Amino acid sequence: MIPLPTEIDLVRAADDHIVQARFVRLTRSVAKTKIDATWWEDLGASTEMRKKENDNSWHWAKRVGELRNARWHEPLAIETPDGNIQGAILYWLNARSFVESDRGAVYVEALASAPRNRPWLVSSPLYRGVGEGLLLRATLHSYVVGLEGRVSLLSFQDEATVSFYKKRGYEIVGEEQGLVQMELLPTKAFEWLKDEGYDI
Amino acid sequence: MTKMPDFAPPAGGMRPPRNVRTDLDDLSAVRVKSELDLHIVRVLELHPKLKVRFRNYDLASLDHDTKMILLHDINAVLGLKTLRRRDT
Repeated sequence: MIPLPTEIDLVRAADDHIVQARFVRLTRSVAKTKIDATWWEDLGASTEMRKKENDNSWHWAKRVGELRNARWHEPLAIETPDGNIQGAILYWLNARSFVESDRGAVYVEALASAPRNRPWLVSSPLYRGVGEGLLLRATLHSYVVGLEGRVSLLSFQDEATVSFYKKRGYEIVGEEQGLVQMELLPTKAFEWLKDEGYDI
Repeated sequence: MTKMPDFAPPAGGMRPPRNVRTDLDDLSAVRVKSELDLHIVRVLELHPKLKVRFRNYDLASLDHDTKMILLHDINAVLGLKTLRRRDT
């Protein structure tokens, strides 16, 4: 068994009740039926609002299918007891650090919580903690493979997104194709993991 | 849970890293039977010093308990603690 958590506590936004969800491997089938076919349906949000979401055109199933044999690639999702997928992440374990190119880092290719969990998009979001939980999982994975918690990603340029990552210790380290290169360095990663209660 | 988590905005460009490590094999030809096997294979590949030290191990011939002992030894060489979470 890999020494990584298999469960995660989410907070139901309506009443702050803790709901235990689990991490599941994101297969093409799950991505197709529980993300691509459902995430953007019956939201109650206008087409205009949906188009503003940076991930509104992502095709998770296609991407997961393309990478099904990539052994350095990790496709994960969070599933609640009702069987719905509340968020997903795709990351790589064979990337170089943006900051120290002789060091390895986990690289997050895509991260999103389900649109139903976004308060700027729906009037009654369902769960808090989905994106943060997925990001924490990637950081833990970086630690257990000996990459010292380094995690890099490309953030969209809007202030809300950049500040979300800054708040978790990520630093802006460059720019790439209109996106902001950000990286969580070992010191900050260890701080975060300890703050989350991990005895490392 | 010690504090209320935020709602997270999406991130990433849905594209592979531009700065992939070229010193690593792609592992696509490696056969693994479990997540544990894949984890051990990845860690051995990520750290060349481990490959030398543990080169005589053949995962296919090991049972689960022996693999866990192997992983424990690998973690000791890397200085990694087993992940344990305190009650928060």
